[in-house]
Amino acid sequence: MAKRPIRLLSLLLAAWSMAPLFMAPASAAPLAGEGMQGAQAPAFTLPDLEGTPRRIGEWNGRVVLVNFWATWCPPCRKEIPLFVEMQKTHRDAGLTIVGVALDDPDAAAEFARDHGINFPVLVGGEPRAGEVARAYGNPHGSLPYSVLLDREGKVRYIHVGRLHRQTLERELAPLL
Amino acid sequence: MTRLPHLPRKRITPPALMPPRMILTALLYLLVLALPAVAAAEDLLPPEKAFALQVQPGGDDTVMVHWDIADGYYLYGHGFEFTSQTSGIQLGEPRRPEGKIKEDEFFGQVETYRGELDIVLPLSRAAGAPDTLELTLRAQGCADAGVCYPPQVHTVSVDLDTPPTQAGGATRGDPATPEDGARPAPATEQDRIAAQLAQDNLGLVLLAFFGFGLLLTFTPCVFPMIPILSNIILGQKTLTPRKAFTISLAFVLAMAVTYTVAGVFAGLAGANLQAALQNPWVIGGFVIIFIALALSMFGFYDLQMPAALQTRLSALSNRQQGGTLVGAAVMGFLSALIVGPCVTAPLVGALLYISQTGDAVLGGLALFSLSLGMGLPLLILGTSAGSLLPRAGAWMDTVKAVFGVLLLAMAIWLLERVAPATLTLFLWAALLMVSGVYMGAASPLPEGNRGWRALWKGLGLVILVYGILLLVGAASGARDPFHPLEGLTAADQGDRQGAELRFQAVNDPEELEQALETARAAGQPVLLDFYADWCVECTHMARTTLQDPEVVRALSGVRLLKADVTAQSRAHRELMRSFDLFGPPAMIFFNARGEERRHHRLVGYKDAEAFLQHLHAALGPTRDPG
Repeated sequence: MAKRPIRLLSLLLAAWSMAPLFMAPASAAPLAGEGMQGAQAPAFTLPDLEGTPRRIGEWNGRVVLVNFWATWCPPCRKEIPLFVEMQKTHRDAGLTIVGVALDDPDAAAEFARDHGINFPVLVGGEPRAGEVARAYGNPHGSLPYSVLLDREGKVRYIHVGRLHRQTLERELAPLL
Repeated sequence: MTRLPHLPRKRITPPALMPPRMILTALLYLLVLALPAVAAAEDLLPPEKAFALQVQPGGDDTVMVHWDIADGYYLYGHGFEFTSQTSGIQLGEPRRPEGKIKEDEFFGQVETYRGELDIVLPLSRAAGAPDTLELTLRAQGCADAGVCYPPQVHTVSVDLDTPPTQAGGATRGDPATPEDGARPAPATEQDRIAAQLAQDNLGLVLLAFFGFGLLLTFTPCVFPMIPILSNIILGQKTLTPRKAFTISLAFVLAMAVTYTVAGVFAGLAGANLQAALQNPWVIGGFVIIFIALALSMFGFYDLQMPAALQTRLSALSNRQQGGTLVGAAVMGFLSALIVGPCVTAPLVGALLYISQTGDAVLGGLALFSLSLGMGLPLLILGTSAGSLLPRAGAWMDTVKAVFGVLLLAMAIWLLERVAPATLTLFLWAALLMVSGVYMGAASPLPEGNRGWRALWKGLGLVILVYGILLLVGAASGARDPFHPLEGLTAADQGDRQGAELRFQAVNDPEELEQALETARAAGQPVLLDFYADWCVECTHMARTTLQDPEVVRALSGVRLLKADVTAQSRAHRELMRSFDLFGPPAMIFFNARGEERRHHRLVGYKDAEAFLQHLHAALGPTRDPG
C-alpha cells in the first residue's frame, strides 16, 4: 500500500521522460487478427517435418488453411482428424491445409505419423513459429488458431480455438 | 487481444479518420464495442494476466512461487519446470499441492490447477553462493474457451534474504513481505504504464493522468489554444465570470471528448500510430499547421472560425448563449487536432492498455482525465477572463512572439524526421539568427533605461552567435544541432575511431534469429540495439555513451546487433512487435544461452556510468577474463 505513491510518481516520470520522443514510440500492440481481413497473408518460410524449408507462397493458387497447433495443446489434437478428413475431401477442389506446429520437430513428426496427417506440417518452436503466429495476428501464440487464405493469398477468415466442421464448410464453400 | 473470439464475426475495420459529424456515431459504436469487451466471458486474457506469477523468498532456504490463475483458465501439472541459473544454488524437488485430476482423451490422466497455486522450491546453497537467485520458470496452461497458450517461460531474480553472517539461526526478515523478494520481471517502462493502469486503483490512475495533462500544458502544442480561447471569450458583448466559465468549459470538454474518443478508437482498432506519424505527408501536415499557427502568433492574421461557419452555428441554436457554446465546442474539437502530436507519448501507455485488454472504459477515462488536466489551465485562464487572460498590449505581443518561435522550432523538429539533416540544421540556424536579431542583438541599446533591454539583447546575442555556429556547421556538413562544428573537428575523431563498437545489422526476425543462434553457439551474450536516425535519444546515445572507452571495453565480450529501423519497413515493424516495442530507443539483452533478459530492457538514454551499471546487472561481468 505504502508503495503506491512511489509507483505513481515513477509512472509520471516515466511518461514524462518519454515526452521528447513523442513522434517515435507510438504504436500500440494490435488486436489479434485486427486489420488482417482481406490483407495479403504475410510471407514466411519454415522447415517441414523432413527439414526442407517451405515457403507459404508455394501454395499460391490454392485455398490454404493455415492451422497453428502443437502436441501440447489438447484442443489442437482434437481438431486434427477433421482436417485430415477435409484435406481428403477437398483436395481436388483446391484446398491445402498447412499445419504450423509451435512445437518440437520430433514430437510433431510422431504425432503426424500416428494420426495420418495428409497435409504439409511446418514446424518451428517458439520463437520462430510463434513469430509467424504473431505475424498472422495472434499475439500470444494461443492455440489452436486458424487462418483461411483464398487463392490470391488474401486472408478470408480467422478462427481462434477449435474449428468445427460446420464453420469450416461454411467458410470454405465460397472459396473453393 | 482479449477480443479474440469476436474477430471472425467482425469483418469490417472501421475507418480511422472520420468527418466531425460522425464523431457521435463513432462514440455510440465505441460504447457498443466497449461493453462486451468488459463483460464477455469468452474474452481471452494475455498469458501474463491469465497466469499471474509472483516469486518471493520463503524461510529456510526456499523460494515461494505463487500463481494467481484467472477464472476459466488452468495450468497443467506436468508443464512445470524450474531451473536455477545461478551457479552454487541448486533446486530441490518442487513441492506442489495435488491438483485436480482430469481425464484427457490424449494425455490420459492429467493434473490441473485452478485459482491460487503455491509451489515451494527448496534450495541448497553452496558456501559463497550469491545472494541473488536467477530462477527460470516454465508453465503451460489453457483456457476453458478451448485455447491453449504456449509454455510461458519467465526468468526472475530472487533476492534471497540472507541471515546475518555471524550467527546461524538469527532473525530473518518476514519472508512474506514482497518487498524483500523478487518481483516478477518488471519489463519495460511502457509495459509498466500499462500494468499500472491494470493494478492501481481508479482514482490514483486518473489523478496520475490528470498530472500528465497538467505537464502537457507547458508544451508548445497547447500555447495556440490560449489566443483561440481568448478570442472567443473576449468577443462576447456581455461578459460575466459565469458565462466565461461556461464557454471555457464547453471548449475544454469538447477538446477532451474528441481526444478521448480518437484515442480509444485508435487503441481499439490497433491503429499503428507510429507508422502513421512517420509518414512524410502526416509530418508535413503538422509542420504546415505549426507554421500557420506561428504566423498567427506573429500577428499576420487572427485565428478565428470562418465567419460563415460562425453564423451558421448561431443560426442552429435559438439562443445566443447556445450558439456561442456550440462555437466554443467546435473550436475545442478543432484544437484537439493541434494537440495531437504533443500528447502521443503519454498516450502510449493508455493505448497499450486498451489494446491489450480491450478495456476501453478505463483506458478512455485515463485519456479523458489527461485531457482535463491539459484543459484545466485553459479553464482557469478563460474564467478569469478580465484579469488573467492576455489582452492586447506590448507584453502580450512578446509572449506571442516567443510562442511563435517555439512553434516554428516544433515544426523544424518534426521536419528532422523526414528532411535531410543539413537542411534542418540550416533552418535551426535561420530561426535562431532571426530570433536573435529580433531580440535586438544587432541594434544599439537606447540611452538610459538599459536594464532589461540589456539582458534581452545579451540573450539575443548568444542566440545569434549560436545560430551562426549552426550555419557554419550546416555548411561544413555537420548533422547534429548540438555539435555544429563536428565537420571541422574531424581530426579529433581520429583517436576515437579505434574504440568504435562494431555492430552487426539485423533487419528482420529471421536475421535476428540467425545472429542469436551464432552467438548462442559461441556462448556470447548479445546486445540488440533498436536505432533510428530520427530517434534523438538513439543518436545521442550512439555519440556519447557508446563511444565511452570504458563502455567499449565492457562490451568487448558481447555480440552487438543493431536493428536500424529508420525506414520503418514492414520487417522492421514485425521485429519491433516481436519484442512488444513501440519503436526505438530500446536495447535488449540476451544472456550467453540466448535467453532474453527481459527485465533488463533499456528504454531511453543512459550515460556511460549508468549504462555500465545496467550492463553489469543485465549480463554480469562481460569482459573475457584475462
